[in-house]
Amino acid sequence: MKHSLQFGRLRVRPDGMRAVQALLTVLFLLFSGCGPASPRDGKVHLVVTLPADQLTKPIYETVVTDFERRHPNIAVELISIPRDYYGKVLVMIAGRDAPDLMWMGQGFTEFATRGVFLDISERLAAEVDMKEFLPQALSWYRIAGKQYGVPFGVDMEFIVYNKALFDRAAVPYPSDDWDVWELLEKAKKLTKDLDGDGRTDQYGFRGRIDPSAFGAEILARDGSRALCNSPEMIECLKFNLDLVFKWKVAPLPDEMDQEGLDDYAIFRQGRAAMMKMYTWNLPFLRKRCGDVDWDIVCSPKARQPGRWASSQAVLISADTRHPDEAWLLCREFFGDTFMEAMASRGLPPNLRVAREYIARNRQRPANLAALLKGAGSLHPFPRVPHLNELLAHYWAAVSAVYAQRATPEEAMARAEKEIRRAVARQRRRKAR
Amino acid sequence: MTIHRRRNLTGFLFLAPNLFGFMVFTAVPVGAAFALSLFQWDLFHPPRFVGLQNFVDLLGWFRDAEGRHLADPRFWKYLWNTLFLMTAIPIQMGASLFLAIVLNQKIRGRVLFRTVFYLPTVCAGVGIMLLWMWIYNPEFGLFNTVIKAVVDFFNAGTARLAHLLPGVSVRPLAAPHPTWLKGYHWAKPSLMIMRVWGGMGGTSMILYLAGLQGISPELYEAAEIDGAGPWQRFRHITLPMLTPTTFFIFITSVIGGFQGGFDAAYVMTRGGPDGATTTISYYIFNHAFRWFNMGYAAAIAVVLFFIVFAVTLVNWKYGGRKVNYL
Amino acid sequence: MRIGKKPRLSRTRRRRIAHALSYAFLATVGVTMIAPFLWMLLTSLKSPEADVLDLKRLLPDGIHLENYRRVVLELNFARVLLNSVLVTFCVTAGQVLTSSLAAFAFARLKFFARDKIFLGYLGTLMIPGAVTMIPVFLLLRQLGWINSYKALIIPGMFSAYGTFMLRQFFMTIPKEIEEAAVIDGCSTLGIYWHVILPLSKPGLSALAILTFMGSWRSFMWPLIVTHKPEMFTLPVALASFQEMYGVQWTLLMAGSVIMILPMLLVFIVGQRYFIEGIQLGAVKG
Repeated sequence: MKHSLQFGRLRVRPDGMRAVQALLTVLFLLFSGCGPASPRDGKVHLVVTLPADQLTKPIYETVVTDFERRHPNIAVELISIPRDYYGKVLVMIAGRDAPDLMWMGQGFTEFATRGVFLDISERLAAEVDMKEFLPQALSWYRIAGKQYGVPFGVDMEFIVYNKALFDRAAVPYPSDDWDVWELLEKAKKLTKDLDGDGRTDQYGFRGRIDPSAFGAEILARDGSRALCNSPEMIECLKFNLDLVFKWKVAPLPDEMDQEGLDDYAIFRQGRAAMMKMYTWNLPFLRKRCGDVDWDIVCSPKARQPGRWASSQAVLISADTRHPDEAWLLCREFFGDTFMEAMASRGLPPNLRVAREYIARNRQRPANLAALLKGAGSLHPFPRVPHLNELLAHYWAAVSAVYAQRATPEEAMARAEKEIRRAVARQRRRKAR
Repeated sequence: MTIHRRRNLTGFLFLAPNLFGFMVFTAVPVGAAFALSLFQWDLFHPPRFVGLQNFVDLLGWFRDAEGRHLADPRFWKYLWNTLFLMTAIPIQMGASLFLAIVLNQKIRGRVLFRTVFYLPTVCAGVGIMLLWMWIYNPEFGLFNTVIKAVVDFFNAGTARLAHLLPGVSVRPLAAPHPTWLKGYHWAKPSLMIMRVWGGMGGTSMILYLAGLQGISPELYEAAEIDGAGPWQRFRHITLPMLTPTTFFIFITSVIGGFQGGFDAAYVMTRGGPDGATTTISYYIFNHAFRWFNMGYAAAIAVVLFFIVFAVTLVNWKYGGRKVNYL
Repeated sequence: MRIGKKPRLSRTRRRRIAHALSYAFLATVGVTMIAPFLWMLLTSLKSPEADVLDLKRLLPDGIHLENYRRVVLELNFARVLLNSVLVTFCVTAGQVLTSSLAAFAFARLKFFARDKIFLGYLGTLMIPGAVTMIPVFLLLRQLGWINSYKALIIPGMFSAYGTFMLRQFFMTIPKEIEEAAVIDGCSTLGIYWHVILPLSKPGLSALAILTFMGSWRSFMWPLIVTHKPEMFTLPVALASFQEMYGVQWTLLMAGSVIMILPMLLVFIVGQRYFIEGIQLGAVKG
C-alpha cells in the first residue's frame, strides 16, 4: 500500500490548532460543569428510580407533583430506566449513587438480601393500618421479621376470552372456579380451521397452565432445594404439551414463545378464543381490543387453585440521607390515591381500595372481581437470594421441554441437579 | 542536563498522555482483572479472597453418584456458541474476496457499487439489528413473508394447472416456516447470515480490492501465455499474493470474534433461545452486571484472555511470517 | 488446451458475456444490500396505526412523519443526539491527538526503553475488551464518574491500535524533511506539529474515521456506564426504546433510520476518506 506523500509542503496549519483548542475547551466545560448536580436550593432532594413505562409515568408524576406541593421543602427527581432495570439500579447503588427510593418487583429479594433497603417495620406499625392489606402481599416484602415495603399493586395471571367466539361456537362462558379439564373441553370446541386449508386459524387456548395449579413448586420456599422434579410438575408440563400436540388446541411452541409478538393483535383478530394474560396487559387490552367483546376469568385449577403472581412496591434505600422525607414520599406510593390510579393494571393489595375500585368499575372487563377471587391462591416465586440464577436453570429446562428437545422427566431431572449444584456452590462460598 | 536525559524527557513527554491512558485503562486493568479473578465480590460486601476457586468453579468438574459433571456447563456451551458464530468469518471472507475480484474488473460504476456494498458496514449497530429483528420476525418478517408469497404463487399456479387437467388433484405445498432468531437451531445461523450480509462488502472487501490492485498485471499476462486458465491463475497468483491481506483480516476477525456477539445477544435475542446465542462476552456481562459476581466474571475474562492469546500465538506461528509488522 | 473440443466464442464476445454476468451479479448484491434499508424507510413512513401484518401493501399510505415525531419526543432525541455527537467528537479528537503524539515519539524520537514499551503496546492489541471492562468500570465507580461524560469519553481517548497505526505511517515519512526543519531551527514539538502532522493527513483521517465509526456505534461501554436516560448515547437509547415499543415496528424503524442517518451523511460526504482510511487501517509495513 502506498501513501501519497506530499514533499515540500510545509505549512503551518492553524485549523489544526483550533481543533485542539476546541477539544480542550469542550472537555474542560464538560468535566467542570457536569458533575452530579449539587442542589443548592436548600431543599431536600429525593431520587426515585422506576422502570420506564409511558403509561404509568404520568401517574407517578401526578403523585410527585402533588407531594411536592404539599411538601415545599422536598424536591423529587424521577428517573425512569428503560431497560435492564435491576442491573442499572444495582450499578447505581454499587456506584455510591443509590436512589433514595426505588421501585421493586420480582428483583426485590436479590437486593434485600444484600441489605439495600431501609427497615420500615416500626414506622408502619406506628402510622399505618396494616389490617386492610392482603396479608400475602405484605409478607413478600418481609424478610426475617423486617418489613421493607408495602406493595401498591399485585400482578397475577388470568384468562381473557373472546365472547363472540364463544357465542359463535355455542360454548358457555367459563366461570371463576373452573378447572383445566373444563378449559380443555371448551378449547376443543373453539379450535377451528376456518378456511379449510388444513391449518388451524383459531386456537381454543393460547398460553400455558401455571405449575402451581397442579400443586407443583420450583424451589423450596427457603431456596435450599429444587422441587421441580416432582410428579406434579411433570404432570403440568405434560398437560401443557398435550394441549399442543395431543389435543391440538394451543399453538405450537414456536408460535407462542416469540418475543415481539403482538398478543393483542392476535386476540383482536380472533386467532385465539382464550388467552393467558397478566394484569399489566389490562390497559392494553382495553385500548387495543376495544372492538372485541371480551372478559376475564380466573385461571383454572388443576389439583388446586394456584396462579402465578408478583407485586410491585416502592422501597426506601438504606443509604438514603433523608429517611424521614423518603418515608413521607414512600407512604404516597402505597396510599389510596396512587394505588387506585394503578388499579387499572393490577390488583390493589389494600382490599378496601380494591373492593371500591371494582365496585366502581364500568369498563371492561366486567368480571374484574376475578382478580379479587384469585387473590386467595397467589403463587409468587419464593423470595430467595440468587433467585434469577436458580430460576435460569429451571427456565432453560422448561424451554427445552416445550421445544421438544427433552422430555419433561429428563429436563426436570437436569434442572433439579443443576439447581442443587448451584445451591451447593453458593453454600460453599458462604462457608468460606 | 545531558543530551541523553533531555532526549529521554522529550520522548516521554510526547508519550505521556497516551502512556498514562494506556497504563490506567489497559495495563493496570489487565492486572486488576487477574487479581479480581481470585476474589469473590458482589459489590455490596467487601471482596473476599477465594484463591483459584473461581477457576475451579468455571473450568473444573466434580463427581457425584451419577458420574462426572462439568462444574459450569454453561461456560462450555457459550464458548461453543462463540466458536460456532465465528465460522461466519471464513464465509464472509470468501464472499468479500469474490466481490472484490468481480469488482476489480474494468467495470463502469465501480465506485457506486463499492459505496453500496459498504453501506451496511457504515450503518452497522443497533439500528441495523432492529431492522434484522424485523426481517427475521417469523410472523410478519420480510423473509417469511417472501417465502409464503413464493409458495402461494407456486400453489396458485399448480392449482390452475390442475384445474386445466381434469382428474388431477394437487396438494398445495405448505410454506416452510423457519423461526429464525426464535428457534434454538435457527438462531445462530440467523445471526451469521446477518453478519455475512453486513460484512461481505465492508472492510475486508476494501482490503482485498487494495490487495488485488497491488498485484502486477504482468504476472497474469505471463500466466496466460503459459496457458493457465482463470482458476489456475486465481489459485496460483491471486490467492498467494493476497495471503498477507487474508492473514490480516483473519487474525483481526478472530480476535474480534472471541469477544463479539454481545450487541446482537443483548439487543436481538437476549442470549436466547435457551442460551443458543449467548457468547462469552454476554456471559461475562451477565455475571458482572446482572448477577453480582464480579470475581467470577473476571475469571471468565481471564480465561478468554488466555484463549485469545493462545489462538493468536498459533496464528502467528503458522501465518505470521507472511506479514511484517515491525 | 480446449481448442477443437468446442467452438470457441470470440474473445470480445466472451468478455462481453463475462461483463454482463458481472454486472448482473453486482446489481443483485447491490439490491440485497439496499433493499432492507428501503424497507426500513418505507415502514418508518407508514402510519403508526397501519397494520404491519398486512404486507401486501408494501408502500406506505402516504407519508406519515408521526413516527419520527414520537421518536424525537420520547427518545429525548435532542439530548441523546447531542451526547452521541459530543462523545464521538471528543473520543475521536482525543484519540487522534494522544495517538499521534505517542506515535511520533515511537517513530521519530530516541529514548529509554522505547522499543520495549512499543512491544508492550503491540502485545495489548489482542487483549479482549471484556478483560479490561470490569476493572475500568470499578475504577470509574471509585472515582464517582459513573453516568457522566467523563466515563463515556476518557477511557476511549487512548488507543494502542491508533498509536501503532500512526507510527507505521510516520515511519514512511522521509527523514530528510525533518532534518531540513531542524536546520531551520524547528523544535521537536515544531517538527511534530509543522512537519509530521501536515504530511500525515491521510493517516490521521484514517484513524479519525475508524475511531469515529467505532465510537458512534459503540454499545456495550455506554450501556455499562450510564443509567440515566439523559446520559444515553444513540445506540443505548435506541435499544431501550426497543424495550418499550417492542411491537411497534413503524416506531422502531423510524428510530433506526434516525440512528443511521448521521452516519450515512458523514459517509456520503467523506466517502473517499472512508475507503482510504480502511486501507490504511490495515497497515502492512
